[in-house]
Amino acid sequence: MRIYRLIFLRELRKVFSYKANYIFSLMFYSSIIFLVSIGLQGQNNILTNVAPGLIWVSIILVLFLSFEDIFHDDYYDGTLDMYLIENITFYGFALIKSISHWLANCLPMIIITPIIGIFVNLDSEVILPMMITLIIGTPALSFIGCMGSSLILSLKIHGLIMPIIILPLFLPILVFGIGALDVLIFNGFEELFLRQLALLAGISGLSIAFCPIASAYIIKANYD
Amino acid sequence: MTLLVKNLSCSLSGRKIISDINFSLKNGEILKISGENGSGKTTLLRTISGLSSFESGEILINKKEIFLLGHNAGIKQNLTVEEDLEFWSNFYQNKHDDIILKKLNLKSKMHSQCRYLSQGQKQKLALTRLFCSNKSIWLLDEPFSFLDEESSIFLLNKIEKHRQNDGIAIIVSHQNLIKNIDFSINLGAQ
Repeated sequence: MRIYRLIFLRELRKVFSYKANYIFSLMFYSSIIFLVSIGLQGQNNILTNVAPGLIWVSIILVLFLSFEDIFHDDYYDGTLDMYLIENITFYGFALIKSISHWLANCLPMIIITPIIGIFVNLDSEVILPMMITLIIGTPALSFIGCMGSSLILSLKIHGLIMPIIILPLFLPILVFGIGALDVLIFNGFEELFLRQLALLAGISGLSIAFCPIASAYIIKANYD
Repeated sequence: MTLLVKNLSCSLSGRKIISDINFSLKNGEILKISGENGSGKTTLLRTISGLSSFESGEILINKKEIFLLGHNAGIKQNLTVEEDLEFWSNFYQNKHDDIILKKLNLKSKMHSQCRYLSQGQKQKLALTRLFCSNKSIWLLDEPFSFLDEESSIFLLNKIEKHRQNDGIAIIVSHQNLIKNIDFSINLGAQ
């Protein structure tokens, strides 16, 4: 457990020491939202209605940029070799990578969402539910993305293979994430909101439970 | 402690790389492996360390005692030398030796990011881990590459000291720098 904690802290230090990575992600996220808000200038009602969907889709787009090199460096620079010799399991490694990916990529975007929301005329009453859906739903994105990243590990040229494979897996998260907010904004049904939220939590829970196992098997297959 | 490799055969992408390798090493013995590029030296080390699977044969080794120094040493570009050393010191629960850092001229590079190190300095950084690890079975793949003369002599002394402390070493090298080799295997041509 001590070694896993050390690796986890190293991962965080590694990600946050290279500020460009997450600052560019945040800039890209803000840019998408900002550009759409300029595109729909003067149509505040439309903007308010599409804001939850727009925020979710923007986060997914930004995350795609970070998925490619989740395991790449450790696989090619010998770090994974050293871990495996020290009996670190593939599962433990995949789990650490997925959690640190969420902390480094999703969490900063969730934190700036209330500010970004101003550009898209996000109703102040929706900000808290929006944050809740993102906190509950985005772990699934990170864990599924990590699984996708392990799939392309040994491919020299992968291009759009990973997005094509994992995009369908993101659909339920997108549907329930936006759906939960829609029932709250348009219908004011808190109970329906909570049900959709529960489904979203279920998807995240399943992703957290099974994606690292799948990633571990895929990385191991790449090794053999 | 003994390291035993019996009738070991390995294939890579359907091509037989190593066939019927046999050797056994006792405490304080050193094996040198040589051979042309692509003859399977690195594959043999990776197989002994358990990183690669093998087709047939037997390997008896205490895996907890292995340290593999490969071509890629897992050095993170974004981290400083100090952060790298700190991580591996904590990992092996053994503080790195300041004298070794001075001898390898790494002391002045402590606050530099690893991306700014030369290949030789990266190799030295990888060697500090080897000395910090306290493992008794050293698997060294071209340990002298990129090292200057002074550092090569330092490493040779360390290898000799390791042998005197009853350690085992398997060294892949093209150079004839190590004098007291107990066994050697030439894997020949590709």
